Amino acid sequence: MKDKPRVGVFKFSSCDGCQATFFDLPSLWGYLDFKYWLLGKSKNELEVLDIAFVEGSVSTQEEAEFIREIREKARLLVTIGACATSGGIQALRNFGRLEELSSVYPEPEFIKVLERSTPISEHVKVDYEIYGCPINPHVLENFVKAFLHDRRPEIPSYPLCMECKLRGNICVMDAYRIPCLGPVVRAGCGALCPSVGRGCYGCFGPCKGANVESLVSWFEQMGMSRKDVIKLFENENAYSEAFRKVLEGKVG
Amino acid sequence: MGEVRIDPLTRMEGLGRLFIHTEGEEIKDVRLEIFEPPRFFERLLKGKKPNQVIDIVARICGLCPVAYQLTAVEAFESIFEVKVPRHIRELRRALYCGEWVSSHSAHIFFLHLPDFYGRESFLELMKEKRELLEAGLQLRKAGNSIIELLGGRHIHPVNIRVGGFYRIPPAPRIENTLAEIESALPIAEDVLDLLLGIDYPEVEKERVFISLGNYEKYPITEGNIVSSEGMSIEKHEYEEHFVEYQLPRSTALYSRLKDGRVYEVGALARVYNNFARLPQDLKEKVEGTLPTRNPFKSIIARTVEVIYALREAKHILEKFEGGESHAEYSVREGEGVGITEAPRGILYHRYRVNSKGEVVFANIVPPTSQNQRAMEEDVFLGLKTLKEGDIRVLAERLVRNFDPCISCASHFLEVVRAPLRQR
Repeated sequence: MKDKPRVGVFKFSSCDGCQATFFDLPSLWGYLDFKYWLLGKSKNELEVLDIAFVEGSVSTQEEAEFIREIREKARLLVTIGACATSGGIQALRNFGRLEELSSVYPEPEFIKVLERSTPISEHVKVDYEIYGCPINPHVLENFVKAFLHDRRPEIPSYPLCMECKLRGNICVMDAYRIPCLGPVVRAGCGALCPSVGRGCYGCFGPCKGANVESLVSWFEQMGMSRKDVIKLFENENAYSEAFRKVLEGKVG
Repeated sequence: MGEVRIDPLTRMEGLGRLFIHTEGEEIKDVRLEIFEPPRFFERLLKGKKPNQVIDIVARICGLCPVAYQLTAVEAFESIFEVKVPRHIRELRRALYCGEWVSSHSAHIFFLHLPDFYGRESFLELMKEKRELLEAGLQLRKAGNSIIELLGGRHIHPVNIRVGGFYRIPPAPRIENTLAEIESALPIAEDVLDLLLGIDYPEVEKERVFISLGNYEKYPITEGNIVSSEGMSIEKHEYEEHFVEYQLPRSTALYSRLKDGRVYEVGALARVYNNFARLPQDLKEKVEGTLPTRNPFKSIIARTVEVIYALREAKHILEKFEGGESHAEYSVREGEGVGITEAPRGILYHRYRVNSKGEVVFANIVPPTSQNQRAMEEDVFLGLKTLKEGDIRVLAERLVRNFDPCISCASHFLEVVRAPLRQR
């Protein structure tokens, strides 16, 4: 096994939920040397790192500069969560005009944000992406253990439907005609939504080779309006390449 | 004029920094800057239907998503006049208790406690106080277990909808969670004993404490808005008594009482205003310590609430006998508010929906934005009163006492206020 890797946990525009996962993984604490983690520690030094875990999307100029600095310092850069991986729920603003959004301020000139909320990979090279809003702690744990043992990490890329079937769920779309994004969404949550009788709403982002066109045509055959189909994709991963097409009206 | 700059603040959720202006030995001014980028939630919610709003608002905070979801639910259910059955209201209270336990435990053990042992992190503290951190883990796990039971997962739950839940958990799973609560309770009581035995810096603040109250039980979602000065108003009157304003230094709006006074929300305020509603044995145990105006003792207030919330969740889950997962309702046009006690204090939501149930207006006031001015005043007072030690360490501790959640705070309100519906 490797020596304790030097790690940093970084926050960009986000809710802190993914990095809070480290609180719930005591099995990892002894194996990592946290050099930078503002939420967890008071002494932080941005030095050369073996792994930089990055939560959050880039939505200000400062953030765009900071992620480049982190990239220079980090051997591996790993995004954790939907914000870092696809821009997050806040990337819904990418589909509207910014002036309209900042008019919510009494004095909008105080606010300096970029036009779009963007995933880390739009700015620097990303080595691994861990999906989910929030990430599944077991996937993160598995990732760190794989790193320590020089194994390839297992990050699910297959569709949620597989996980759902393994859980023995009845298909909510087949049986109850509840629209479900499962066929195009990445597994990893444990098929939580179908397990409580509702459709998947996509918080783990698109799976590998997601056939969004086909699913959209299924929804349309079920009688859903174009507007309602788009709403289904207005989720935490709306700005991912696969889902973005639907919001931009390029599918169907 | 000198300046001490603490940038960035650490062991807090979200991104902020603190400036302290000095003249010789004297503290002249304290400024908290919140530079967490805004995520414009209120605007993102426009056009969304209530059940989608419930999923989206969770994403404002990874530490208290249940608070956001259940506050939105309350607002929508008031608009649609949903008759929520008693067993659902009870289960939601248990769910909320789970979040108090989970969120408070994270703050008490991972963020706050290292301050009382002069350590820079829980990881350092772990080296000498392993059993204490293990207690914290057990408590957080019990809280998470309650949220997972009723919400599906503890960060951004998936089981909450207008009218109730998508699915009621099966009995064997309830038993498992009850077992976790059982084993967590004595641990929480031991932690309280320990915290009652350590030394706290001596500071007493003058502050208007705002919380829910005037309710038969310790308030979580029920009751009026009350103050330590005797105010008691209905939830829908919130915007008539509190004002938000913007300062260039912060991406979160400030808040004050309409008469200009600074106020504070959170565990310290809740305990202060509702001490009488705590169980007798807990009151006796903390007698002479709580209620308090000493900001450092907020860690004791949170621990008392952890015990209360564990007991309350246990009580609710034990007597739960099953029932419908949700109440049916019809969508209608209208406007409604929700106010609940998030772990960090009162959280306000107001929505207006059209006849299709789509949100046309949303306004969210998180607890930490309400506390911004109070945090600055506490640093000012604390630095003036306590003259020993490193000013930087002390100042940061004074902010941390609030358990600020800066990620929550920086979401903005509408400028042009929609007029409140006449009642």
